[in-house]
Amino acid sequence: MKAQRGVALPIALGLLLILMLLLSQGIGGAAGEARLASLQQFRHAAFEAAEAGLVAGRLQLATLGSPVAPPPQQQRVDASPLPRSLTRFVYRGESAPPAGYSLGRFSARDWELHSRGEAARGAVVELTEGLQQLEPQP
Amino acid sequence: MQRAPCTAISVVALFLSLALALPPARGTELTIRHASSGAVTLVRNQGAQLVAQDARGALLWTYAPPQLQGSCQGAVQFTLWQDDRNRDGQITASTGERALLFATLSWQSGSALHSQLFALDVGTPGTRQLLWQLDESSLPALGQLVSAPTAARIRIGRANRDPQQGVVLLGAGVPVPGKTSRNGAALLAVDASSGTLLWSASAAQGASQRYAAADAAFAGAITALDLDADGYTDRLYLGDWAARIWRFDISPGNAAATLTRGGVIADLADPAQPVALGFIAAPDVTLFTDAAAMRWFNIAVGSVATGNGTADNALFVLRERDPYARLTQAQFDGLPVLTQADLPEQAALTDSATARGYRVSLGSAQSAGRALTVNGTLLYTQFTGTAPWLALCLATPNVIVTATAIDAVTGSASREVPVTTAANASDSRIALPTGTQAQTDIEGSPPATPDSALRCTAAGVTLPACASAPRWRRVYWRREDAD
Repeated sequence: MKAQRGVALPIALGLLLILMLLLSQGIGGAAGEARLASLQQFRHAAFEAAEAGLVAGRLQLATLGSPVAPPPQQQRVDASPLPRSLTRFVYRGESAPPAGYSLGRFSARDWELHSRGEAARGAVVELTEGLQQLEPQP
Repeated sequence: MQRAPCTAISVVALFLSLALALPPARGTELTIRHASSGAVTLVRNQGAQLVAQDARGALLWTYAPPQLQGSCQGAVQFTLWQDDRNRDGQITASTGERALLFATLSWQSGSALHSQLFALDVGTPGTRQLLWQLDESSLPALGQLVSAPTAARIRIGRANRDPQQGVVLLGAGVPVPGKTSRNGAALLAVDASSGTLLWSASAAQGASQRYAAADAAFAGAITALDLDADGYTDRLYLGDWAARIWRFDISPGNAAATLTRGGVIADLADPAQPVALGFIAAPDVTLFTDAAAMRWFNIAVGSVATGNGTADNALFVLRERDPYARLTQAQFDGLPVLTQADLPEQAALTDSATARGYRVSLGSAQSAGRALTVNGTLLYTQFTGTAPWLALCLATPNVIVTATAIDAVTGSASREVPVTTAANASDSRIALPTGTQAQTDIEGSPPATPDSALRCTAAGVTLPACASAPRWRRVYWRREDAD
């Protein structure tokens, strides 16, 4: 009896292999996307925390009021669990009032507000805001 | 020094007589914060008397110039110089910081007019101390009419005695309407600590610097600007009694003989009018920038009638291009002087971008208070009725003072002013309380709460036009991600 040489098995195995490869790639891609989405989510959380830090910083600046001494730098540390923010503001000095305001009747104090938002997986967003405080002069 | 003609004195005497026995006016109020005790001293002029109260209203001290005691036949105008070296908004006497009050005084005795300049040390809570005083005998250039004083820091060679180069700037002269040659008009800078005359500009011999065109009293208060933010004044603007606007550029550190270069930048007199125009208020100077990043100064000042009668007054708004350029005297001498013909009536302003300015006609009303520009809105006061321009400590019941807000660039009525408080629906003016003095400035005031909008007031009335002016402005913003 002539021996039969079948090709079905190798073909099936080959197809199975290709299928497994495709499947593993699909699973890997989905996992990557999920990881990316998660990272985006954490980055968004970090941004939200940094924004909250800016708001808190602005409020803190406002309570300094006028004409209390402008400190060269102050820092507020939010030690809450992640996500959290770390805010500091720097006094940049006085400048001329902006266009549209009487010269010599207003002064402008320049501040720079930094807020660092931190979330899980090392997501960090840093926001910097330049603020100008207008003060009437006597 | 020449004396004013009798006619001028008669006119002034008439104004003064009209002003007698009338209720006191609301005056200027300035605030001193003392670091030692946290106390606050509020100084204002109540009639001819300076009054200081604490934040609760308790009387701290008063000062009445002896010449005006018992009557109010004169004018007291004052300003405060706070030598606040660490810029913390408080006066710490123990570290050498000072609060000095400078006041000018014009009064009538018999048929003669007199002027005085004095300084009070008000840096210690609850006390005041007369530092020095000058009158016609000790400083003849004071003349018979003095403008409101302006405090500034100017280095004048090695002449300064004040450790911070503090000076008092004021204009002086004889209240003769129009241009009359050599009538003693002078611009003066006096040392803040000692009262020593440091510099003068006049057409007369003996002045530190002679300006031939200075032939009308410098009745207008001076606007002193520090354009390069080095803490020292380098530009002056003021109006005179002949409706001219002057500009002086200061060379810091120069000796008195070469301290300034300057001249007339606008001559807004109208020879057709029976009564000449003049300026009392300090010009309001504001920087503007157009879409092509071209910069100009808006210089706004209202006029008054210098004689007994009505004149067609206006709020004049000039545009000075290339405003930061420092001019030589030759350039000043060759400047094209703006006239009323160069300034169209606001309603006829067709191209506000290229205009050299505009005017807002006030009719027979006058404008003697200092204007203020906030967030592009120009606010000014005007009054109708007979006002004793010299007896500024008084208010007359027939004087009606109103505040108006306009767009500073186009001159059109501001939409910021609610018409509900105006006289009628088409009027953007706000009537100020009865008893408000004619020379009422628009003031910028600290906001009600730390983070609220800026506040503008006139005679204690908060003007809604400033409500949209934020106290805090975001200048830039950026984001950086790192993970």
